[in-house]
Order: sequence, then structure tokens, then C-alpha cells
Amino acid sequence: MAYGIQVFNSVGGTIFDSEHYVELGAYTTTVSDTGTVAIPDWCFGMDQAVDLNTYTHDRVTSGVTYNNVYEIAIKLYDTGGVQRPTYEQHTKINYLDAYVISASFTQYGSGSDIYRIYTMSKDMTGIRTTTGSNNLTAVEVTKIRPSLYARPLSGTYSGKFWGSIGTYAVTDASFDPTDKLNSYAFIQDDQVGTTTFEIMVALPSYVFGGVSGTKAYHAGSTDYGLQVQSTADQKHTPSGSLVQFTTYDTRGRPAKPQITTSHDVPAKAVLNVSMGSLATSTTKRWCRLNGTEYFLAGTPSWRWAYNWTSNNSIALIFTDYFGGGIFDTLESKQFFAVSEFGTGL
Amino acid sequence: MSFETTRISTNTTTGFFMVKASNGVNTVTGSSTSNIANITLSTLNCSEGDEVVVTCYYVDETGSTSTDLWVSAINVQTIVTHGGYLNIVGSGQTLPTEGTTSTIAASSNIDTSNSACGSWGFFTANEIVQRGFGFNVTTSHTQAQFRFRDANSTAYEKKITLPLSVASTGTGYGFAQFDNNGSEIINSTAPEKTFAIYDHSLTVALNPNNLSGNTYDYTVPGLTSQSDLDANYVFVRTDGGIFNVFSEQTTHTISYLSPNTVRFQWAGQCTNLFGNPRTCTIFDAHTNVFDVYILGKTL
Repeated sequence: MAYGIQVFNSVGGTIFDSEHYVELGAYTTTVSDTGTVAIPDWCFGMDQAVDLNTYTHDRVTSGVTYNNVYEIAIKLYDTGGVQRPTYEQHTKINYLDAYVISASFTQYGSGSDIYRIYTMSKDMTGIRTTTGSNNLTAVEVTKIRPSLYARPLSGTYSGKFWGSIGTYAVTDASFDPTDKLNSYAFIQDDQVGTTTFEIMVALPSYVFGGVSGTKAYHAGSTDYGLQVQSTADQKHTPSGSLVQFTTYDTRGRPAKPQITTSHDVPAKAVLNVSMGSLATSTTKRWCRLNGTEYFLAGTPSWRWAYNWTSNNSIALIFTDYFGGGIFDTLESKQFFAVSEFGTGL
Repeated sequence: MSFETTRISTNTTTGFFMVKASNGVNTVTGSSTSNIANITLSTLNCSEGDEVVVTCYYVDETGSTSTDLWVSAINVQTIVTHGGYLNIVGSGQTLPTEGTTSTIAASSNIDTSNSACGSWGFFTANEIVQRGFGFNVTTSHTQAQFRFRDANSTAYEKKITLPLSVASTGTGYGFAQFDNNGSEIINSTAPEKTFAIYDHSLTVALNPNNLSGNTYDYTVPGLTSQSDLDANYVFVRTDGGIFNVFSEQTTHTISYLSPNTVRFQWAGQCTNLFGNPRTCTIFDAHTNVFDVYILGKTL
């Protein structure tokens, strides 16, 4: 490395440096195995979102069948007669600060009046039958898939659990129209009764550094510490301005894997997999859930889970204890880790 | 470090034990001609992170050709749990070269049962037999205890107590990070790993396997084997999965090819609208985007 800072561990491995980003714990909360908990937009890089060009489209005021109050028909062609690509999630509309949640795959109408039906984040009945137009501004967002960690709150818990991140539908009771992504985390386990889990969302440091304010900090202070930056030739999004990226920050807590493994897609049978031995410790461990979110194709109840015997004994199991979900099928080797984020957490 | 062969005493009918502990700078030794007496060494002055090598010597003066020297450890758990390691030379392991140690990864590799420590084989009278092991010093521990014994008789068992004076190096060099309450978050004087992102938004476009361009070889530092790839290299797809239902769902196969090289290969099936197999075409090409995380390697 020609410039900057490098920190190695006692055996020469890189802990962090000025060029390579490190995964930092950024958001913690709790969730029961019977519910969900909202994950804020900034965990997905929304604080660095960039507004793109604004185009004006006429509304379609008649002949449209709507399924709910959040839908509105918008012509494909803007008022200048130019066909615009389908507006994606996050696109803003100049009405009630609403934004696009989804667009119909089907196109309706014909000629210059062809349109799609968009589902927006707020009630559109105030404008959708009134002749006029709306401005639509697409939003460019960092492509980020945060790491989701969990651990049982109880020190005596023993069981098997998995979890993932989902998205509240606009019709869900927990849907928040002020939230652009409406992401949530959930955990399922095999225990009877309600179990509370702690959640940790970890971010690559370039996203961590792009979070506004101090809400991602879990240690230290803005008054002291170390912040490591890249050169100023980076962009959070293709249309964003050139900035320095944070590569390390002592106000965050780096994920420190203690035991790790990867495993190919197994057959449809219970499979116990050792991840290795954990040293006995009172520092509570976190299980990285990203490999548990997929279900075996055709059999949604079969998936990977962590088999938690104690804080010092954690393994993997492929099993059918768990209900299905709306998530992707398990098609590739998955990575699993039990990590610490330092003491005092 | 010299190899000590000095006889401590000849006043014995069976032999005598001698033990030495050294961090490469300071050395303490102890001995006993009693068959059952334990040995407490003088305090070894060392620093946090030092490798301490403990070597036990046994001299047999009977001319026996079957005496073994066994070694096991007690109280090792407290060392291991705090990031140290212990390498007992036993079955399937080799004696470390004098002044060196071999790292073992986890406490499961420590065999605390005497019977599993293996045989020394034969030696002749007046030979000096050596067994040893090493461990990393931490400031959490000021004493280590180990047990040596002659396999022919448990009466020869000896417990070795090694007091340690450990100087902390945590503030002497390296990097340590603490939270507002003084709890330690990271310390470079330990073999800590982090999820360091080696490559951001690596785009890999591959043709199906019946066409050229169906593999892509990618260089990463420090890769030694498939198991190393599985444990320390993470390819996180950022273009698909649950966050983008419109993207390609199939993930390329990623496998070890050779040292420092992994191979991406197209994976998937080509089917018609009825789900029946068909010949793959260029339109079945997949593009995946990854963030590449590397754990505990020198970047």
C-alpha cells in the first residue's frame, strides 16, 4: 500500500487499512420469534441516495381498475412525448412526499396513452381521478446488502433459529409511509413460547461512513478516536459526487468472526454441521444469518439454522423445523459465521 | 537457545525429570529426583503475546528400553479460552523444534488424556528424552500448570507449576480500541480477524457451460485450499437475492482452483416454458455482482 494506514493482527493478518472496507456493527434492536422489527432505511445506504432527473407524466383518470388506495395509473410517455423506463422503487412523486413501492409488469392502454399502475407509499385517491400531471424523480441508491446477526437475549437459551430481512407490504399494519424501504428483520426458532432475540445489522464501512449523524455509532465519540478514509475518488452511487470512503471508524464495532464455515446445498435430510470449537467466554456471540434465509427448492420448510446450545457451543443444522417464507431458494454454497463485536455489548 | 543436557543429579535408581520454560529471552529450569514430587519453577518474566516453550527432559538410568515420557496439561483451558494456544506433543503430532512451537487452532486439539499422548518409542539408558509444548502468554494469566509423567508408573507423575510475570504490551505497540466504558473492542496484539472487503462490486458475467466463457479465474491473496476458501473468503452477492426479485437468481459456483486463485463457473439449468431441458444459448448467460470479504489474511 502506497499511502495511509495498515493495522495487522499478531499473526500478520489485516485487521483494517485505508483501502479495504471493514464490516462494522451499526444498528441493534430486539425482536421476538413471533414478530418483526423495523430496520431503518439508513442501514441500506439511503442516507446517500441521489435524486436523478425529474420528468412530468400525465395521469390516467378513467378506465382504470384499482385494487387499493395506494395505486395510481401513470403514462409511460412523459409530457414531452418521450417514453421513460419503468420507475423503480424509491422514485418520488410530487404528492404527499410519496414514493414508488412497485410497478405493474403489465402495461395497459394503447398508443401514447399506454400506462402502468404504480403502487405508492401513500393514499393516491386524492389525485388519481383528477385530470393533471405529476413530477416523478427517480432515486439512485447504493447497492448494499447488510449483514444480519442475531443472538438469544436469554443466557440460558438452547434451540435452533434462523432469520432474515423482509419488506412490509403497503397493506401491512406495520407499514410506515414515511419509511422508503419498510424493511424488517425477523427470527424463527424451534422453541415453544416466545423467545426474544437481539439483532445486529452490520454494514460495510463505506456505508457506515455515509450514514448521517451519529445514529450508527456504538462506541467512542465524535470527539476522539480514529477514522480511516480512502482517497477521494469514490462514489456511493453512479450519479453521486466523488467522496472519500470510510474504511474504518473507531465509533463502530468491527465484526470479528470466531468460527466460520461454508456448506454446499445439502440433500433433503437433517444434517448437523460443526463449525469448530468456540473458546469459553462470557463475551456474547452473534450468529450471521445471511446464509439461513434461503429454503430448499420445492420444500420451503427445509433450510439452514444455527443450533445454539450455549454461548460457547454453536453449530449448524439443516432441518425442516421451520415454516416457509417468501424468500429465495437455496441454490449455492452459503457462508456462516459466529462473531463477536468486542466486549461490553 | 541451547539444548540443555546437563544432568541434575545421579542420585536416583530410575531417572530424573528436568523441566525448562523459556520465552526466548528468559529461561527458568527446575528438576526433581523424586518420583512423585511436583516442581515449581521460578517466575518467568515475559510479555503479553510471547510464545513460551516448555520442555521436559527425562533421564533414564536403568537401561530400560520401554520407558515412555508422557505429557498432559491441567488448567490449560484457562489459557486457551483467552486466546492462547497450547501444543502438546502427542499422538499424531511432532515435537516442536527447540525454541519453537506449533500452533493448534482450538481447544479440541488439546488432548488432556494421558493415554492419547502417544508413545515415544524406545530409548536406551542414559539417553535424555524430551517432550514439550508451547503456549501464548496473555495478561489474564500469571500461572500455568502442566503434568508430565512416566508412562510406566503414575507414581512418576509430576505437576509443573510455572509462575508468569506478564508485562502488558497492549499499550506498548499496535492498535487497541475501546468503547465508552473501557471495554475492549479490538486489539491488534491478538490474532483477531475482521470481515475486510477485498473487492467491492466485482461483476462476473459467464456464459453457460456449453459455450466458451463459462469460467472466470479470480486472484485473491493468501488462499491455500478449498477449506481455506470456505472458512475465510466470503462472496456476498449484491445484485440479487431477496432485495431484487427481478435479477438473476442463480449464483455462479465458486471453488478453489489453485493457490491464490478461485474459479467462478456458470451454474444453472436451461429449460423451456414447460420446464423441460433444452440446449443453453448465449441468452442464458448470468451476471452476478459480489462484494468479496477476506478474513484474517494479509491484504
